[in-house]
Amino acid sequence: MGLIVNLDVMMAKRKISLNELSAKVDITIANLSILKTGKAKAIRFSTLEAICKTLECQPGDILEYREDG
Amino acid sequence: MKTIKNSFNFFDLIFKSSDPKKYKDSLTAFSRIFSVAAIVFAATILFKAFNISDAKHFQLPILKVDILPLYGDKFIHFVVLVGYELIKFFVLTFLFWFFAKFLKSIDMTSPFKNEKSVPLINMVANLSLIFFAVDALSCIHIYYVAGEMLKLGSFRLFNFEYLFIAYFVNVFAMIYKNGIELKQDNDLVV
Repeated sequence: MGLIVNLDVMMAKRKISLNELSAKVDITIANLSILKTGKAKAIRFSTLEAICKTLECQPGDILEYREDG
Repeated sequence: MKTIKNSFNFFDLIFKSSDPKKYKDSLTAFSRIFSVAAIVFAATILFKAFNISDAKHFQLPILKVDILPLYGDKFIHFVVLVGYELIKFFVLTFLFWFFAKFLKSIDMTSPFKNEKSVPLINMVANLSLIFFAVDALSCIHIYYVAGEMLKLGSFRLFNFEYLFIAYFVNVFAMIYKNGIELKQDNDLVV
């Protein structure tokens, strides 16, 4: 399975919508959507830092690794 | 008229910095005009070739150069000579035509955006592989005309420029495809 992005889980815990998160971290809704749906190829540290700062969480809360199979 | 005007702009733009879009339009127009001119020239030679038995001279269009001395008394010399030049012309014509289509399909402000350009550049690269055969044919061509060329005061050992074109086009196609992949990956970096 590889890397799983749990952004939607954290957003639900913090009760924040995609629009609000997009405005606070200064990332477009399209890019956040790409990240949320797991289609992203890579994430910049600056982006991860901004998301973690806004959602008051750790990178491990957003990103999770699961073995294939 | 716009095509002809754009093609003249091409020579002007080579020596000056320019808008990428204008450069692309000019190159596309120039490629199309070359393709049409090559077809007309080749058709003229073909037409004259069929009438060779009634002709005392075989003059190339516009240049007015009589190439009948190269014919000698051996018809096979003439077939090799004309056949080689025609094959070269037709391959170059198709290459230029599809390269023009490829250029038209790309957006110069973001050249690696359109995935539909990839089949076109693949076609150009595959066509260019025919130049390997063209250069092989050129060795036979040189064998037949070497004697006559020496009489005219000229000599040539080999024609490898088309091989160079084939290599260059294939390298360009490879780089372009890699560019498309990198752009797609980059678009998915957040």
